[in-house]
Amino acid sequence: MQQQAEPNSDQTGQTANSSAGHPVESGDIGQEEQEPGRVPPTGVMGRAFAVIDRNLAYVLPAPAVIVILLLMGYPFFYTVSLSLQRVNVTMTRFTFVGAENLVEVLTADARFLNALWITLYFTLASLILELVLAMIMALVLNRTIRGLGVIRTLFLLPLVATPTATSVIWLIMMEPSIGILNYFLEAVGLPRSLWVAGDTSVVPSLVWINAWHGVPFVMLILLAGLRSLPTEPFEAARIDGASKLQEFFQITLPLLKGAIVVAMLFRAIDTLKVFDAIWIMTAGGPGRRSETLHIYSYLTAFEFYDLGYGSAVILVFMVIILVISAVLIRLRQRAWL
Amino acid sequence: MRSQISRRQLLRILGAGTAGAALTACVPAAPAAAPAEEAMAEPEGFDWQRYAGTELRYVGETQPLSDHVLSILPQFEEMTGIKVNTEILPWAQMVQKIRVELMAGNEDMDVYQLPAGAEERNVWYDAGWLNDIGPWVDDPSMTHEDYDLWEDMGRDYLLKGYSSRGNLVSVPMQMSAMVGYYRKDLFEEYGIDGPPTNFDELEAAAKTVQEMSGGEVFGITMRGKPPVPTSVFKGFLGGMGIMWEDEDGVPLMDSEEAIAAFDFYGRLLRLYGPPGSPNIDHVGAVNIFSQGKAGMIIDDAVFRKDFQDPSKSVVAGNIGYFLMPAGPNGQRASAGGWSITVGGLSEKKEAGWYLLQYLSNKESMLKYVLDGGAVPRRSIYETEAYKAQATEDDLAYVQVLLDSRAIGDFSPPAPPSIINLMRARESIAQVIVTSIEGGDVRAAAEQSQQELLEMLEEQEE
Repeated sequence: MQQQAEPNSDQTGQTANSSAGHPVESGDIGQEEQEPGRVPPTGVMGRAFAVIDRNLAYVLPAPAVIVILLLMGYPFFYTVSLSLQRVNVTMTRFTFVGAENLVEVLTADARFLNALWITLYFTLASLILELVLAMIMALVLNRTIRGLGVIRTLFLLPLVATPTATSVIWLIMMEPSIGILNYFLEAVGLPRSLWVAGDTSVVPSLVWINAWHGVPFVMLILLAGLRSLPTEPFEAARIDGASKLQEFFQITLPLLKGAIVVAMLFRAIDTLKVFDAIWIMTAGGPGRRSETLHIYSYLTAFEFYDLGYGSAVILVFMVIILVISAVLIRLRQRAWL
Repeated sequence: MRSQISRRQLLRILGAGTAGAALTACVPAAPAAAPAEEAMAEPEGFDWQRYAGTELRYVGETQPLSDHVLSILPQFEEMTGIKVNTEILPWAQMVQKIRVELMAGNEDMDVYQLPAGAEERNVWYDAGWLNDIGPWVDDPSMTHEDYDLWEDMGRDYLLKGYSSRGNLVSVPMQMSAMVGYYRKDLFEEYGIDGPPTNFDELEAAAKTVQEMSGGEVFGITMRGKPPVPTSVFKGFLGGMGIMWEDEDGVPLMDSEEAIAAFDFYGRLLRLYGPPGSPNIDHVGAVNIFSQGKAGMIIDDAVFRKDFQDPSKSVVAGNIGYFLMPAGPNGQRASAGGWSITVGGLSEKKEAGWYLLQYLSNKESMLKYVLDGGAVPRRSIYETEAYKAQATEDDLAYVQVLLDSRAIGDFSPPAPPSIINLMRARESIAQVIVTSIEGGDVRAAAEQSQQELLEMLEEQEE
């Protein structure tokens, strides 16, 4: 341990030095003065090391930056470039068409509008349902109940299950003629449902499955929020004779705003991203009634082999996600003020 | 040049996107055992050993056909001295792999199951990805004298279904068609007089099963989930007297005939099909029928194996077959079947042809048939070996296939003029969904027609 301490301190000293000293022109001179025992740089290698030393603040994070650029920057710019081209079915001919694809997506594509509407409907409905359910569960769990740990673990199970696998299970349970959900509905005297195969029931069914997945996460955040609330306002309210409902809506909810916005921000991004569950359960059907933007752009790019147009769709969608995220982040900052 | 570069880049993207399909495509270069081309000097005898020492690649789909290929490869290798490396993949990965490798110009795509439909085949042919097989078949130094392809399979049949620009480009390994299956036991119980032969009888039978079983058994199940139903729907279109497009290649999806076909297909499933049919594809429909939940199904003949397998089906042994019923204006059965081809870019085409020839010769095909396959070689069904083994059920099945072939339509499951098959299928299938749901079929058909015209227009640019 002692042996390690020396080089460590040396390194941190250097980093601090170079990063602090870099903007100043005389930074290198200062460094040499501080380390008189060091051999002055000679030869190519020596000079190269000197350059690295001086720019350590840039050199050290460079690998990470390069990896990020390669993994995120390259595909992004490649998608942008694809969206400006027309690609034929066998992908043997690429023609530059400028903004034609983007213009068509934005002005003349009814299917895009349909997908956009379904995406927003699906996301918004999921968020509301998740928030309500998670809030109820968090309030219930925010008491000292015997076996709380076990209950909490059970509630968290959907969170760790693989969406692909659970989607298949849901699909079987929702099968209109032999599925168990319809059996239950009938058992309690309700009419059968077509679930994901019905034109009006498909999105609500998918919302339900998505919420089943997301509620535990939201609940965890809300529960943490509830646990950290100060007790004084509640005591004061009780002394003033506030009802339980008043207490919830006028104290708990406002104090919890930060946690709610954080949970919703994460879930909004997650839900906008959902592809696997929908693809497995409906592939956008029946007809195009659960065709979200992801499904639409996947179909366009990888089933119809229209890479240019598919890229344009996903690009527009990305801008939409950025705007929504920006709004939510703003909300979060205001909520915490 | 520019397009060249972006194509390479595209390949990389595709590789990342399709979870390794393209990554595994980086196969090592084949050994330098080049075929002796000078061998052409002695044209007289055919010699299986001529390309001994060559190493070939075979790429196929995970399905019974590949099981068959794998089972006879050892004999081929022993007889010819040609070594065959096989890559058997699920359909989607196989298609992706073949496409990507051909686009990259790989020269060791030797022999593979051909995934391209009629119009796409022309694009492939023009790109040099496919070989003209006919000259080999006719060359006695390249083909064994017992091979007999043209006569046995039928020249018309081969050129209709497996050619490009008038040249044979692949050899069909399997004879398939969209056929009807019905529950013999139920038909007897409900007093239905044999399988349906026309659209009216089809609907009447579906109605009877549905009503007499009290809704316990659906009258009929068929595909409804886009894009797959168009392959079955083709037969209904044919019954109304049209196909996808007119002679000038203009789609006919908003014609009265097409609307009548959409109406009928949708009505069958809406009234007598399982609920949620718009979300049921061939896998779903096959499951429903094998679970005894439907009286009839019209789908690919290959599913007979699943239906008659007691470990997969509760209705095994109770199934009869029928030819795609006749409509008011005609009777057409969607016909086809997998074929195998020798890659046009392959450096070892001749050895590749030897492999394809061996896989499709009489001996191999007889074995395939005895194992439960159906092949387009008519002579097989005349052999003693087949007759000795064939059950009544086998004979009935083959008869329906041969009849289907006679009224067979080999066009793709969408207008042949449209290169983007999947997009066209998806568009047409939306009309079928609308019809099943009882929506405005005419409006949907007009919309699909519009979309198809736009695809054609885009194609011409």
